Amino acid sequence: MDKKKLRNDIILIASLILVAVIALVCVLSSRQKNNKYAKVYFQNELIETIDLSKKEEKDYPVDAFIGDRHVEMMIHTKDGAIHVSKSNCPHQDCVNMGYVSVSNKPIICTYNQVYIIIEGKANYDLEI
Amino acid sequence: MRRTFKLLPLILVASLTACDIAHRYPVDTLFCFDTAVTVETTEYHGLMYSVVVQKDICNMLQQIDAVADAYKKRDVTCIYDLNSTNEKIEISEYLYWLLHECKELERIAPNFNPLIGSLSNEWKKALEENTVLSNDVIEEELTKINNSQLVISMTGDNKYFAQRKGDALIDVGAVAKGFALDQCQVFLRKHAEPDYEYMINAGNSSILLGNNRNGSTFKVKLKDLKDTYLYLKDSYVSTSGISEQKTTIDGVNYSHIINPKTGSAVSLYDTVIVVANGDYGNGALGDVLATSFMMSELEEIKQSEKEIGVNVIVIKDDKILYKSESIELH
Repeated sequence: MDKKKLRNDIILIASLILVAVIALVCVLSSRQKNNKYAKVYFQNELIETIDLSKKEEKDYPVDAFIGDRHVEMMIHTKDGAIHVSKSNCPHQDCVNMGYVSVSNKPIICTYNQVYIIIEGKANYDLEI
Repeated sequence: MRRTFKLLPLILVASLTACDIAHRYPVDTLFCFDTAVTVETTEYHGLMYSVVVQKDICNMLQQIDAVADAYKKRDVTCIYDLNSTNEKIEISEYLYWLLHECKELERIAPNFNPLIGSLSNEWKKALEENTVLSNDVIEEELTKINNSQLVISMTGDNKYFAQRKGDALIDVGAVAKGFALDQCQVFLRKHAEPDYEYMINAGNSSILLGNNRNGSTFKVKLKDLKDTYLYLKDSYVSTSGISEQKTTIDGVNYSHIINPKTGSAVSLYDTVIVVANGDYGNGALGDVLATSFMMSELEEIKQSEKEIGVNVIVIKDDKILYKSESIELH
């Protein structure tokens, strides 16, 4: 009876250690993940999530309306960075910002009410 | 014992869920003040608490954004309405205190005037056409500013009024984000403990920092300088710069930052960063000073920072021209 009890205790302790190890691996792997996503918003609505860690070269059109006004933009990704390659806004500030690959540096088109935010790990909290 | 074994899968699932939640905390992003604003609190005091607090803060930011709008009519009385009439009109409490703040800051900051709207619009139009505003137009606009007045009042039954007298237009763009951050700070201090962890970032030019996770500081990168960082918490950080919004005409850089005394759109520096402690009012103050210092001589900046009690970094051509003694860069 005692032997059986001891064996069960060992199994219980081993199981708890296993749970702890799995939990630790889960924590560490989530810390090491360096996935970088660009989120594209139009009028505060998320319209596109782009995985920049794939480092794909791809175009993402934005085609929308603000009232009767047509919003036409082209967002381009390359080597893990993102930029606005075309926009029908008058100032072209969003286009002139060039490629952005770091988080905490949004690309904003005030005229078209479109903004792009990169979410991911940087070695700093914000950039000014 | 068997019962305990039966509970093992449940313990496993609970542990994994807890691990996932521990690494996720809510970030709200919204478009207001013509920029992207992120509101971020950690779950240190409870995940649900963070979610509720952030929603309230987002609502507050949107309300202040609405009253500060000078370019279109909104659901509430806003700057656009004040700029459309010379009549005395009833305004909301937020707009009253925003205008009150403007009048206070006009006395403190060397180059700030909320009646700069019309001059600012003229410069915007000229720079869009790649031309410089003529001296005649500048003189005309400065006369408008000098002959105009902003009058605010409140009655005993908590009604608020404002009146624009003259032809100059009101523009609170330099102060609205900072004012909004001040209101957020009041809200956070009222509803949370002093060590609450948060960061509200209005387009990287106006930032309110509480504590970072576990009471640590935020690592702030200065983009104009290579591998240079500030470590901050419980602070307001206001940045004014021309790097992303300048128009070069005949070798001279013109920007959206206008001197209300001379009418010039030429800034003396590339970037001015003002760091103020987290006390109420320093958000609006820091924003206005950062803009105002872009047009101030270095001696004037040094004098002001001592009198007002803020810290300043002045950058030109990727080099630090001046920094306050108490600022430590790493």
